[in-house]
Amino acid sequence: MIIDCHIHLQGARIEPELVESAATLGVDRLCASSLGRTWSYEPTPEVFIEANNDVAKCMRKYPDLILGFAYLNPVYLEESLAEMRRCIEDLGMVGIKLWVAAYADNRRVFPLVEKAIEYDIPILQHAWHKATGNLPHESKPTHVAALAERYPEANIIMAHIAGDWERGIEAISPYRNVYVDTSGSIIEAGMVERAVDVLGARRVLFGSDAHGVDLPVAVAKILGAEIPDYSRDMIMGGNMQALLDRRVG
Amino acid sequence: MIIDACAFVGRHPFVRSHNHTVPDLLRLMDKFGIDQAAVSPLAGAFYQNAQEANEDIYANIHTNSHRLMLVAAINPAYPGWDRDLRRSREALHAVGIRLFPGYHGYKLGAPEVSALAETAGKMQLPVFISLRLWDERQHPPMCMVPAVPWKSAAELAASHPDTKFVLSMGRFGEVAEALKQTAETRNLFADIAGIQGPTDCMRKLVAEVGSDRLLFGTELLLQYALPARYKIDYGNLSDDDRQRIHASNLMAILADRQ
Repeated sequence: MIIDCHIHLQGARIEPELVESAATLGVDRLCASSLGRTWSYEPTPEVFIEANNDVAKCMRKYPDLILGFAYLNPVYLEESLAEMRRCIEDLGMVGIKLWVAAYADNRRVFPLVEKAIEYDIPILQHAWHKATGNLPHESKPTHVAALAERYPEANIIMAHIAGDWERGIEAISPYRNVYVDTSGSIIEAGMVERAVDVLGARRVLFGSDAHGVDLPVAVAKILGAEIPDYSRDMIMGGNMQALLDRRVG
Repeated sequence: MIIDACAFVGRHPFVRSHNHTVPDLLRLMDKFGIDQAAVSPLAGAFYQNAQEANEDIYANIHTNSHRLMLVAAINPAYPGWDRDLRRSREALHAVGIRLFPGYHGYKLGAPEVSALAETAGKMQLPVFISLRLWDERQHPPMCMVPAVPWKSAAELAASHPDTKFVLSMGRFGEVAEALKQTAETRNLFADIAGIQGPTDCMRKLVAEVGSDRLLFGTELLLQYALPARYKIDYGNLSDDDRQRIHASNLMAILADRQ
């Protein structure tokens, strides 16, 4: 079982080329969220509800392929809590996606995390340490580490290994409830090997960040890394499957 | 036949790297089915005197000349660049030259770059231009190097139609625009080492600019090799497009050499 834990819709849909690419490469599941039909850093409830409805449509269109992640904005806490309930309980989504509306350790995030712990679903948290400067409220790995320390029961996926992967891996390494995904355009040699060495293969998840990144590139980053085959199998899907199997209900 | 138009050897200055030697490069080329590579010294971006970096790796490249070709690092803003260029061509058997404008601190519109382009054209040596070595977001604080604007590379190529240029580590949009801007002179090529998306990127790129000016490139030993292979192998391209990108475009550029 190969599971891509991190893709986004392109506008309101999944491009057929991505579906074909997944089939060709043997990728069985795509964990999909939408960041809005036009990306919104600070989505209003109308925007994230529409985004999640688009994901739900894709889940219905490709029921064997797409697993939905609900996009939320902690700044609109009450609406986000209601939306999480709707997406998980009514629409059958399997996780939540937090992007750049608030730092991961902002107190407004806490009730969402507590609810995710109740459902025992993964929290896909964007993070990047950018030398060129982060967006306002864009989490760095230290923000993710702070959240993980406060909620050791939460299953947090730190996206992109935080871009600056050496720094990202070090920041979250003490927190065994933080996983990293390999998504994004960075294909620097050594990043997957370093993640496996420091975190153990159990905490590394295959992700692409399609449609922004070509799925073959993302797959090849893992297949081309110099790691044992059993680690590769865990990364490509075993670890994410284990996370999804924990869900309540 | 697959030829890598963008390979480096040498130690990463800011990250501990396990693979940095010529034997490491050859091992990874074998592992990922790459027959030949055009190789530059990574130190060429960081040494004040880039020629020293060429001299450092020459012996190892030459010993493996059936598989490796030297693309010499040249700094046109450094005294004696024309001497370095000739020595690289004549004594080190360089098949091309590589510029690191961001790391060496000059603009592609500078007069010395124009003089270098003229000389390289006369020697029929292609000029590889590294737009970047790493994603700018990943740079260490003590070495923030802005990307070279693709437009300046396209303008340089357009103003030197008798010289061939290769854009290196450009993004999808940069490559597409630069190749479109030089559609008349057709002397600007681009490697695919820096193109990681969007979905179906290679088919989309070929639809926009054709396949006759795209070159296979990995940016080994700084990047993984397999993504470049997969981009092409799973890129929804025709066999002809694949062959052109994998090898024949670069072979045609290098065949021009006297």
